[in-house]
Amino acid sequence: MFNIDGEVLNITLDMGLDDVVELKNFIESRLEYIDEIGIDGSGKDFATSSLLQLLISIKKSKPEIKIPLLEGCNFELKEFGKISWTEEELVDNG
Amino acid sequence: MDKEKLKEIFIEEASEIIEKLDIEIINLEEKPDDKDLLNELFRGVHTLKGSANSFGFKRLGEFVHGFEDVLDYYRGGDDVPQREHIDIFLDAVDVIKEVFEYEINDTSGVPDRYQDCIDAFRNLINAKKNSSESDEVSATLDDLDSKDISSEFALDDDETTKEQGSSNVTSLQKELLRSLSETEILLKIVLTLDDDLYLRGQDHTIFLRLLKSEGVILSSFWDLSKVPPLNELDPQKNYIPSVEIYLKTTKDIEEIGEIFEYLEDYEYKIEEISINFSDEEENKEEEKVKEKSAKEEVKNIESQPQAKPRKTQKSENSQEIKTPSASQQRSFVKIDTLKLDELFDSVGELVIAQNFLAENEKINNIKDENVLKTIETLSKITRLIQNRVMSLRMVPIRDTFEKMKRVVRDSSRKVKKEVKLIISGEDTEIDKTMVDALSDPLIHMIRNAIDHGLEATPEDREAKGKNREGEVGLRAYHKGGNIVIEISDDGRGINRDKVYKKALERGLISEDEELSDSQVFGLIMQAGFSTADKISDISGRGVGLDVVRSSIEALRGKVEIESKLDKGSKFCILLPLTLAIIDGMLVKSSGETFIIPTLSIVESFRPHEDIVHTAQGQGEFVNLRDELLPIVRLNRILELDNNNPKVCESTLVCAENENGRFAILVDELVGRQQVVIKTLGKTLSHLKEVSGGAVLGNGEIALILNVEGLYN
Repeated sequence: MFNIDGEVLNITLDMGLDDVVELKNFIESRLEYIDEIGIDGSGKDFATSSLLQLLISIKKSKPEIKIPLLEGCNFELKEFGKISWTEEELVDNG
Repeated sequence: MDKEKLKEIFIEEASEIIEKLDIEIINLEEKPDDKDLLNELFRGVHTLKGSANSFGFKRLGEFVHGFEDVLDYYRGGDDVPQREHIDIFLDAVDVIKEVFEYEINDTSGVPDRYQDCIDAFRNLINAKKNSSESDEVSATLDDLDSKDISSEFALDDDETTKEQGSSNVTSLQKELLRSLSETEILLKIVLTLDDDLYLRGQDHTIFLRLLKSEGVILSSFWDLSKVPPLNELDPQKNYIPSVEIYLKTTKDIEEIGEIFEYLEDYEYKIEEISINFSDEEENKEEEKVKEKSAKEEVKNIESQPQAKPRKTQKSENSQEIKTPSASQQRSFVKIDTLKLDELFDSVGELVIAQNFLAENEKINNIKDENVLKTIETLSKITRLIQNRVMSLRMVPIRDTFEKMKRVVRDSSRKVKKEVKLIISGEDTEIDKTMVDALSDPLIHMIRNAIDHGLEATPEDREAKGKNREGEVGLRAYHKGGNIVIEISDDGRGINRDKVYKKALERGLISEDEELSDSQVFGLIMQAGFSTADKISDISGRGVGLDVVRSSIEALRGKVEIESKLDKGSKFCILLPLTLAIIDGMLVKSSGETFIIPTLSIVESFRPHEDIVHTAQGQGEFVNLRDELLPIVRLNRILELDNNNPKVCESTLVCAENENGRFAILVDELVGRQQVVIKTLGKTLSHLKEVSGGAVLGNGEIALILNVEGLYN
């Protein structure tokens, strides 16, 4: 579901909720060493929206991290169409 | 609500839907061009698909989806399903039942006919599509220009302003609208799901997938502003308060709304987005939004405050939101039958307590009008509550009867007979417990009527001067405090001599026994008894009718058989009206109190000496208005004592059972009382004269007489 290659963490979008929990636990203690989160595989959709909120949470916690999927304010998925949000939402207001 | 509870609800609701599918398809076969029936069937299948997918029951979801496509084809055109298509539908229902079991039991694999059925769906649709491809008409957005749809979806001014305020969205909507063909609509679905979403087994993506199966998801807007930083994030909690989804679909709001059936009302909203191009305003576009809660419309229960009817300029062209009139507004709640039983028991105790109060000597001696009036009022209210609670358990037998149509269809095909089922009295109400327990016995008896009752071939019937098509009747009605369910056929009848001979051979009877026709026919319900020369796969195994008898007797009922050679047979199932409370007449005999069910009593009287007669060897009779009634002395038949009080000094209660009227001789009548039936337990259960016991108002225990067993 995810693997780390140097400073790049590669994940797949089709991970389930349990995998997202595992990923969160994995990444939390390693966040400062990770510079980029890439997506493996193409043509897949999110299996759970929990992964989307995890990615946004990571971006809020470490704005400089590179997550190509979140570049811009939208991305297009094969079956779920264009997924959009606003730029302000990536700013941690807390 | 936790996931298990939701699953429980799903299983219950899906079972109800699946159970109705058979009936709806058979009804559709009778009226293939009835679009309402087809729509009803489609709605059930569609709901089943949505909920199956919601719970991750993919095999069921996939199969039902295929079935839905077929039904949708027929919904969309003038083509009507033929008999061979109905066969496919019914096969599909059988497979759905099997897959459903696989899913809830978490069994791997799929039923044998799963893929065959899916192939049949595909072949059917392909065949139909090939024949009608040329009729398809494509449309473009330009077509919309010529239509004045603004009048259809006109809004209040304030609402229009509100929508126009979100300029980003409206420009997007315009863009999305341009991609629609004439048959498509644009829906805006807003999901505002609770933060326990994932714990409930739900996910935004589940709904996206379900929506995707109904159309094309063009775009979605996610409110991610509430997502906390990593150290505060719990991945099992939903931080996305709202998701706005734009769906291009050919389905209507109601159908799409069924996807969200398992969500709370406030967790989703569906709007249809439409557009008006006005020539007068030089292409200035004005957006109008038609909005309504899909759930509200689907369930037709009550209007929501926020869904107020739109003002319309041209009412005749307007698509108005239908709100049910006050008289149509009926809402239903589902109640656990266990709770209903508890309520029933409590009411039983209330009846006993009320009787105790009404009979209490000290209270009765109080000469205060207010006290007596209050007790009388209490008595009336208790009776009212009791009747209402009783009515909660009563349901029409219609659904059970309707289910038999499929049984008749399948059975008649198997044995290659032409059969017509005639149903009557289907609105007769019966205790819910009994309805559930009746289904299997009825199925067996219907199969028995078709397999053994009717002549072997249509030609045999013709040779006897009958129609080729055999008739099987199913009838329900009230009689003498009982519910009677008749299963009849106009076939060859039961051969009395053959049954008698077989019973002798098997040692079930002895040669010196004198049996009435009814008693001989009753032998066919003995365990292991079968006169069928050839055992078929639908009945005739010689075990079924015995099981039928046991099931009916477990409901305190019985089966009676009438038959005439070459005319047909009639099986009558007699059942008590309810299983819990009866209205009884209290009588005294030899110092003991007994209860006679009031519904079995015709009248009571003290006879004059002149009308009492004794016939040598045949007992005593009373001549009641030229009708000779046999006298049954209660003290003698119950072996209470050997006293022989004079008939003219006693009271006679004229009762009626299946063998006719007779007079029960008792010492005195005490009065009428509602009593809660208590079972007697194993020790006394063998007594045919007694059907139960009851605690009387004064605390005394009395036996309830079984009128059927008092006189044969």
